[in-house]
Amino acid sequence: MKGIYLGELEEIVLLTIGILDGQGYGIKVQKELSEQLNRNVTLSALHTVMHRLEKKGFLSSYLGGATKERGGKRKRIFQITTLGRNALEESRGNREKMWQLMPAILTQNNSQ
Amino acid sequence: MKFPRSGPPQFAKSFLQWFCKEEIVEEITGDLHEIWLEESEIKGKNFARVLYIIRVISFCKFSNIAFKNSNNNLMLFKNYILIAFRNFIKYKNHTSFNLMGLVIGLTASILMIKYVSDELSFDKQYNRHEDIYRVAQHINMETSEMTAAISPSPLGKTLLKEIPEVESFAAFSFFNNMAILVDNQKFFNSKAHYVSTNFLEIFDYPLIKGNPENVFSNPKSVLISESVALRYYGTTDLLGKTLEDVNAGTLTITGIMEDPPTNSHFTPEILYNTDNGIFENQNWGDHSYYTYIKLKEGSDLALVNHKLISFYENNLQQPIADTFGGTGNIFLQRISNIHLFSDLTFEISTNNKYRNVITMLLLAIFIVIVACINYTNLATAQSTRRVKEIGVRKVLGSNKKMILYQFYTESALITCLSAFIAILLIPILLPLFNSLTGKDYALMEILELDIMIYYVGIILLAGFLGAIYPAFFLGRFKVDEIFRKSYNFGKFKLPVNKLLNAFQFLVALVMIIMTVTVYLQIDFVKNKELGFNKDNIFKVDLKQWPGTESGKVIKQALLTNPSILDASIVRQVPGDRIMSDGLFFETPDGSFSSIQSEFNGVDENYVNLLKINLVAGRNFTTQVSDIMGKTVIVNEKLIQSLGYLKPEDALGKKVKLPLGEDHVAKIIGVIENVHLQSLHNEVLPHIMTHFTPMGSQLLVKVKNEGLWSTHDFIDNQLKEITKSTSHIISFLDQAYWEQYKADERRSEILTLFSIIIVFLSLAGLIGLVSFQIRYQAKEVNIRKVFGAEFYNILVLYIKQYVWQISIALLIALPIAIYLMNEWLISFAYHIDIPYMVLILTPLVLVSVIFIILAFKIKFSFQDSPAKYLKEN
Repeated sequence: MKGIYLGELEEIVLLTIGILDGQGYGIKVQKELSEQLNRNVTLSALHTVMHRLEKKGFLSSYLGGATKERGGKRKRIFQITTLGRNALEESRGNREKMWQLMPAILTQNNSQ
Repeated sequence: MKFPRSGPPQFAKSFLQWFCKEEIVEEITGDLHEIWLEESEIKGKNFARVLYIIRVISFCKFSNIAFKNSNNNLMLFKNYILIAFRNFIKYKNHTSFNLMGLVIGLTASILMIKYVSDELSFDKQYNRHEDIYRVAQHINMETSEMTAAISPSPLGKTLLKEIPEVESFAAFSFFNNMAILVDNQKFFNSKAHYVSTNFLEIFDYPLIKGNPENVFSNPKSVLISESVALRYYGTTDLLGKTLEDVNAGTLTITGIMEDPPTNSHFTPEILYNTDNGIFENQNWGDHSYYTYIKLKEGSDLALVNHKLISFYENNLQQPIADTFGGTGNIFLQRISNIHLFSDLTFEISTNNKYRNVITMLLLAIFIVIVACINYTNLATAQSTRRVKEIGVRKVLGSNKKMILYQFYTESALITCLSAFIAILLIPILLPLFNSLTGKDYALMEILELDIMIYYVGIILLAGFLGAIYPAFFLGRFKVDEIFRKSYNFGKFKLPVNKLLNAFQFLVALVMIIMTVTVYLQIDFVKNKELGFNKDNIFKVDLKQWPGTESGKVIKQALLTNPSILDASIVRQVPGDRIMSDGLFFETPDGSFSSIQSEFNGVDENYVNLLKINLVAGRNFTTQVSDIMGKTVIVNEKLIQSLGYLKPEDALGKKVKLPLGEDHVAKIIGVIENVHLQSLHNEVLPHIMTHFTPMGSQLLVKVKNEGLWSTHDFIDNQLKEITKSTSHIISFLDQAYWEQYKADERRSEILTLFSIIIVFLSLAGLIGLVSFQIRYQAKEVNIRKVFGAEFYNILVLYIKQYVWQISIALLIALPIAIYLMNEWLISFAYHIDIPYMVLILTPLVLVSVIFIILAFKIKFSFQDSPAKYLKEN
């Protein structure tokens, strides 16, 4: 059960990490989100989401290199897994299916 | 790794590393560091540090916290929380008691802090506000003096020219009722001022439309506020459009400003300039402008003040002598001080007093202290139930510090919980609070971040203060003492708690006495014989003088209605601030002397309409000599100050009136000393003429029956005659009562606060007493077995409380007398110090305490002694 469901924020975060293509970590994801969608998510919320996604198996992560800007701390870089990609595809498929139904219903209503 | 000294806040980082799970701590620290570095470059170091702390706190969530067995401190902490919650639930009464006190205290203080910080924030929105000053003047006349906020028109320009420290000036006119024509409809605006060209250099209101550089560069330009634009025109797209004013003519709209913030003593809506060069001329006799100057940065204020002395001698001395027949000086008032420290004649708006704000703050602090004392008392009492728990903890290796931590945890939990409830309560209480303070706060304003910091401060302080004593109290017991069977709980003498109780008693006493006094004084003010009758009188503000003929027509038209008994057109009605002037009167020896007197214009109906008593002479008639202002009626105060022994002696004496060159009138009547102004002020010398130009107030005496149909009749008649709908009809007695609004508000606030404080104090006392009785139950029952009666026991207990009550009384009474006196002398007419209140209040309070005591004792006295004696 837990593995299949994708929340709205989760989906967006997953997509962002996909876009960043193996470069995504905390702040970078946050910035990308605000750039692409103009959506401000707090860092702590983002962390929680990413770790939850990792627990669900949609993401995998490793500790990357330390830099001076980070006060000598390494960053956790996230990558999207095949399971994650499939979940995204599935959610996209579902949506498209729904969208195709939408105008059909509207035209039916109009003709009546 | 070495960091620069100004790194992210070290304690926040350590805190993060302490609570956070090991597997995620590194990335979070790194992320936070990176974002901190970026932000400290963009937004400044300190701001970035604050954000860093906020982020660290936001990471404090359950999923991130490391609950590891290896972390001993955290385990203990968890245990403290668990035990705290078990205790909260076990002693529900106690917990709800505690919560209630703290919630009330915190809610009251949160609201009060908003009020106080708002009052202190006045007039700080201008750029370099600490360099902006208003120029006010003080004038000594022969028999009186005046300190006024107004100044002559050329003052600003001349100051700029002659004193090098002055960087710029802004001058604007006194209140100016503007009548704006929009689509042939007349709108009146009383917040319109005409201003000097460089006005915006000091009052730098942000403009929504228009360029601040050239808003006033052409004459007949007007700057209006956003809300005025929306109110009259429905849009802000008005640049270049014109605004028709009945007096000023056609003005071109050159700018639209944001509405001035409400925390300012000056909140204009319409600002315009004229083409008559008022601020450029040399007319030093026209004192109807406000002048503000901005000093150059780092100017020496003392030096500027010194220069003002010679400035005054060169420019103002002669004109002041000519206009007022006296000497004076000018001085500077810092703009941000005006709202709380300035109480001059002709202020732009009614200012508050610094003392009132401080009183509010003190009341808030007292409420928090009383709430904390309650918490301390209840927690100490409660902690004695837990002596054994503490004993076990000590045996298991807890040291004093750990016990301290445990109590801090509990107290922090309960204060946080009450803070949470307090914040939930605020939306409910906000309307009440707004009506009490006369403010109009929105919910979001109360919960602003910068004020939030104070709330957190209060909460921490309350939590800390509440826990400190119980923790030490329990921490000091020795383990063997706790477990020795013969341990005597009666040993708890609780001196500190009793002292705190005495303090509460003191505060409650002073509060009640003050509240009752304020009530008595307001009652006195309400029922005092004023010398005139203000019942069943409509006061109509016509906004404009209708003219002599029109005035007659209005009065005649109104009197056709049988419900209307009388009508009168006057310049100022009772309750209005009456302009006073230094006028020259003939003294008994035939010479003339100047007396500062209130000068009103009335008609022949005024004296009868208000049922004012004439002690000598006659009333005005419609004779030509009366109408031309050749006759005056004065009050007894005036003829007394002139030195006449009997009112009759003053009849026929001469007065010089400022109605024209050598205008001399004679006194035809003398009225009683009537309280036309609030009882805060002494009755002043008063003089009336039948010369009513500019009289725009209509008084209508009506029958008590059918008030509203009469009201509609007046309304319709006025619409018909004046062809305008701008008049405002109100009741004279209500308008008169407006003068006491501030006093009434104060009494409401005092009442509310004293109810809270008395309630909290009594609640605290009940808590302490019931604890004491529970732990002395054994002793009481032994006495009972030996034949003691209920009253013996009661006396035993009362004895314990007598000394603290007496000490509290000894301190409270002088404080109360002092405060009462301070407040009462702000009224020129006031009650004597009500000694009955000083005696009765303590008596009532003490009896209430003893009754509570008796009930509580009765409770434990009813049971069989065996029940208590069986216990270890």
